[in-house]
Amino acid sequence: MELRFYQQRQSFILDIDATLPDDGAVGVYGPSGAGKSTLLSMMTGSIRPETGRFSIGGECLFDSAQGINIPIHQRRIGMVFQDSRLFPHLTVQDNLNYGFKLLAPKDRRFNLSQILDLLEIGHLLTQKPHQLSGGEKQRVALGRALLASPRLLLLDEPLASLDVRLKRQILPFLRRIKDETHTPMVYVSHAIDEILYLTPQVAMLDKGKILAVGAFNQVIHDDRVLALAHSLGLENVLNVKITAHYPSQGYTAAMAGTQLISIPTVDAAIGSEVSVSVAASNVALSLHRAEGISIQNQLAGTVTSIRQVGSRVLVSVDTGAELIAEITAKALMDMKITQGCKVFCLFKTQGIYAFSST
Amino acid sequence: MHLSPSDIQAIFLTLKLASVVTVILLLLATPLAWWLACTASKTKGIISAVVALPLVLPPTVLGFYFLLAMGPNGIIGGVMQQLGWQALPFTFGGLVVASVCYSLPFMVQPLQNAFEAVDKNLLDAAASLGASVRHRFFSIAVPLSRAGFLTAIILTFVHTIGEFGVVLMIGGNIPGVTRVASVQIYDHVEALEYMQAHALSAVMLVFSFVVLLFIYTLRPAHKNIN
Repeated sequence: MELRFYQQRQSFILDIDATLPDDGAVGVYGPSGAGKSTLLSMMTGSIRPETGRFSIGGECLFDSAQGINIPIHQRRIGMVFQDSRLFPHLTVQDNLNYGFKLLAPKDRRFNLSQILDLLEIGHLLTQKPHQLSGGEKQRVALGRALLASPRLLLLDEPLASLDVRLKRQILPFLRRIKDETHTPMVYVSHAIDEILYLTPQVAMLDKGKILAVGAFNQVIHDDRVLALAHSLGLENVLNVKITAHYPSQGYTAAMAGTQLISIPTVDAAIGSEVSVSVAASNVALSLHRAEGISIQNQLAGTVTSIRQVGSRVLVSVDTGAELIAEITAKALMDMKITQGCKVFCLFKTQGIYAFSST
Repeated sequence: MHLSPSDIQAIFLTLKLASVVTVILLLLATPLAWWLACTASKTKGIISAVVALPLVLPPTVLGFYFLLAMGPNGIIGGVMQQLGWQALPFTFGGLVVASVCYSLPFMVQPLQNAFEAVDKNLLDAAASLGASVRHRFFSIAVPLSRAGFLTAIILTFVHTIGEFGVVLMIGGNIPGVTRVASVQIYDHVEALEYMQAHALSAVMLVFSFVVLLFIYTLRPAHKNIN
């Protein structure tokens, strides 16, 4: 998937130049105002960029130089938004069938009953959209988009209007769509945990530019991505598995890779995955396991790289999961830390932010 | 109080005129209203002003210009004469043409308002599901504008029934051809036939009231279905 879009609106310049994988899911992550929705609108064709080119699987949908601009309704790009945009005058069934009926039978990849099973919406068929709950609306919107057999499914903050409980209900459906329908997905969100629940592949967007594309724990090493992550305290995002809750002692135990850590109490079932983040500035390094200290988390690992970014020294440590620690240049010298050193990464339970949505 | 055969004839002619005009306007004004609702063109202002003219002009002004245009030396009349067609003034066809122009804003404006109220995001969603512009219009915009269509149709119909000045200027007063109810009432009053003027006026008053009552009381119920 080749994306090149350029557009200037007053002081905001969108200048996209990236190649995204043609299959699987990729998350587009960026803070509010980074240009995420504008990028999606250009992909669907509802906004025409000043110049650029957009192709999927070798098929060109837009090319300003060649004068190619396939209209929205012929692009076969499905969209699901924060507001479900269901047609209010049609029943759930007619909403679901809307795109399906417009397809030539040979182009239909799914039938209604498959989608009803996948999204568990069979009992809603005769209802009108205004009778549905927020989560049901989003599932119907997903089903409607899938039944139109899109070559690409764009999801624009589809969970943003749902509360935490509903997000947790819908996210597994998104994973099922990805795993069972093999429909390529672009998932746009300002919640990195939602993205990482679905896919490790991310495109980092900031101020109208895609900074990097790749696995999150790889692109984080790009200086510009690191700067963005630093501003958001997201240098370290770990997927951990809940093993036990100790509410009276104020923590939840979880496995980060092969090592046990203590995270703040979260409302998630034992065995489920949650994403947690630790700012690099909250991670300290020690050459030995520290005794007689309140810090609960001490992960053993090996230093894989040391970089100076501006005035910050960032040390990457492979602990099974990768952690980045920010220390001073003086500490680096005093401790004589070099690549390959065995160190312990120390961080307080209270320094961990557990995303609540997964 | 009873209606004479010529009164009945006038009522039927009026209903026929209003029906024909409403159907023609529905076909002409729907695309025009859709264009006005969607366009970013600079000509929108000019077209909107032209459409609204009948709202402010005295009907006699409109009728006067129609008379000139449809006459043998007018633009429309000249062409029709060349084609060997019957001249329009003082014919039912002439009345229809004039009434279509006279009632145009009553069809266009409610439709335009309804179309403008349709959520553009829904049309985009339909497009992403493969719907062409035409299909989006008929499957999304039209059903969501039902209330607007109902209002436009009723207002156009009632407004055409109520017209007088334009009819008198270009239709004259030919029984069964151009003598509509409003003109018939005028005739009765001129002839001092007050009882007959009363009867016909009462019919029109009640009819118009019932129609407006229908719009103002039943329409909100229609809206709730959406």
